[in-house]
Amino acid sequence: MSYKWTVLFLIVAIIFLVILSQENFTSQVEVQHQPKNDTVEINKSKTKKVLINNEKLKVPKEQKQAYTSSFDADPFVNEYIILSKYQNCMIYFKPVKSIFGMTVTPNKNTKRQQKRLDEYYKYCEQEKKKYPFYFEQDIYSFALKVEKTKTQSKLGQLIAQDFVKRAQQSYKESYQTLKSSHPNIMLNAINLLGTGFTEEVLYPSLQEILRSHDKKYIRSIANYTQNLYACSQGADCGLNSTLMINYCKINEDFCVDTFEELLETRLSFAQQTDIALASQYYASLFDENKSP
Amino acid sequence: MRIKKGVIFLLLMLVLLLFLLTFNKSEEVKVLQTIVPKEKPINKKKNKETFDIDQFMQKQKKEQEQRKTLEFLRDEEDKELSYLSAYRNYVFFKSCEYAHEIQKMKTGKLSEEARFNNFYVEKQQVALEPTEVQLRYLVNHEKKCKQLPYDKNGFFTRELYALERRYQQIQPVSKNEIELNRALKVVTRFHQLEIQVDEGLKGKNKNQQLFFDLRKQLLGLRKELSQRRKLHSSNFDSLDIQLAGKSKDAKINEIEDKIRQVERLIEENKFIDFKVIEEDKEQLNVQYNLLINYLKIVKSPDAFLLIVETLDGNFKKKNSLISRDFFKSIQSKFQFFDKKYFKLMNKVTFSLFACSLGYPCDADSPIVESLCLDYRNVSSFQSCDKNLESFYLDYFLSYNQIEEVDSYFSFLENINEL
Repeated sequence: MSYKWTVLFLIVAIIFLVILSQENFTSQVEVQHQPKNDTVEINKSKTKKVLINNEKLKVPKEQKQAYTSSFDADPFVNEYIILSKYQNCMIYFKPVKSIFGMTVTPNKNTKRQQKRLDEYYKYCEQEKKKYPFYFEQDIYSFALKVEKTKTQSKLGQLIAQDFVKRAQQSYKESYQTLKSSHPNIMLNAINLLGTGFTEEVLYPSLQEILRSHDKKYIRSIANYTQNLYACSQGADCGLNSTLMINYCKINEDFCVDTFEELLETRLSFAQQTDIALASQYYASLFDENKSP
Repeated sequence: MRIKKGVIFLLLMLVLLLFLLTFNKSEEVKVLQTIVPKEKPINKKKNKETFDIDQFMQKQKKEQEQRKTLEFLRDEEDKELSYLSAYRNYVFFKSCEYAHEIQKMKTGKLSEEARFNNFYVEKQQVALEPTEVQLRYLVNHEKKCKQLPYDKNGFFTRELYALERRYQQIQPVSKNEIELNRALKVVTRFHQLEIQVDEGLKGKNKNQQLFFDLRKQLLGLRKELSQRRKLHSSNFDSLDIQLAGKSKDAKINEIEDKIRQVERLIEENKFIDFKVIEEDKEQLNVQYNLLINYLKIVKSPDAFLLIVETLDGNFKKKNSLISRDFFKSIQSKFQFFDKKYFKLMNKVTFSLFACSLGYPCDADSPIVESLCLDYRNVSSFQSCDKNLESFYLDYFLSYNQIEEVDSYFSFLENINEL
């Protein structure tokens, strides 16, 4: 008799536990379908809500095909390259008016910058004719989409960590992965190798080579050197590249045709010489036999 | 017997359910009680107190007497103070805003790390722990700041103004002081003209009352728009992007249209006197050239720093109306087109040049103190306990940068030949 009661009590307890766990679950994730505007609202908690527009995430079949294998076999890496390559065109075609309910004020360009950008937008129009599906979404929606794309490749995982700003510990293994990737990826190599690489390898080595302890200066030299290396490997560094357009947007004196021209005519003697010194180190870093 | 067991089982379930529900509710109430504090009873006695005019007058008289004594003491002190020392006190006190706040709030309880991290308002993403030497410098800095203020109960800006008045009232005696005094006059006039031109470009209102009405309307509409957007945006994770073009919310479109309309009316109500602006612009160019010419002959380190900082500040301005040939020529000569690098080279070379003219640059000097406590730059803490020259040349700069600083330094030395 007592055995039966114990079993009954246990069953009742389990039922309550299940009910309780379901309550907790529904309080965390409530899915409400909103057929009116075709959106799905997910309440992750009482304060945080995620609104995903289904329309934005929909990619027609033929577009899916176009995304794949143009730059990389991994769809995630491929989309990442597209994002980096066309970010400025995406902003041009779908300018963002507000984020988080706050108005986004576009930068005031100088005449020189505007002239350069107007020329670039003509290039964007041409690209849009070739690849209209790249520019159907705004840049943030595209970035969110890339973030959600699954990846299996080593390079993809390396980039995915950059998205969530996690420190990359196994940077030594990553050298070769980066080396064999699309040259445009190399333009972001320092970030992809993570803070561990910057603090443990890059700064100490360049401090010694340049005989400087100014971390801000070392970082700027490292960035220029990284771009120089990527450009030499075939990355987009020409007139309409993201690299050059971004330089022009930041500084009107950097509105020149190529990265090489920028180095030669816009940087000082000390900067140029330090970049040359750092370049030797950078080349050895990606050399299988010499990498630290 | 079976029915009875079933009934007992159901009853047991009900009891448990009730117990759990009441338990959850009592938890919620507890949480709410902790969030919403109980109202404190208002002390009505205070309100009933009558205003004692005699006591108030006595207090006022006492404060006035105290102030007079303090002013007398200061006058006596000022008699011994040189123009240069008073000026340097004023310049140093500009870096005391934080220390001043600490003193005013009587928050000596703040940890040294927190004080250090608040030393500069602009915060770095990576919070750094101050070193022992930096903390020693911080304590000294605060001590010096506390010694300076004229009126310990006043506001920072009022005290700063008092210190400015203080050096202005002292007669410059030495050659360096006279140079500084002249430089200050030219710089002040230059700044006045800059403001005049900026204000002139903004335009004056044809109808002031109309402007106030429109401005009020505009602020209201902007607030409404922001509230509407927040209401419309339910989340932060999806970034809530709104693209250019028409919004999905008709009300938002309506408010935006109204804003544009009011902004247009404000613009139409403006009147820009281009003739006056042209005159001011000419004057500004004259003052600019005066500064450049003065820079070529100046030997006072304080005057030198004042002029180059003024010129540098104007160079950074996006829409300056003057030609700014001086910095443009330096930029082209040394290929200093990287803005951050140019800023660095100016900072290093100008301060080293000032040191060579006799500006205090030893380990206890304010210039080293500000570098040592600059936690925005992870490398600058190494300047503590060093003189400026050895910090820059032996530690901070690369070999190639030293060569560049050297060339820039020589350029400044021979500037009068230009």
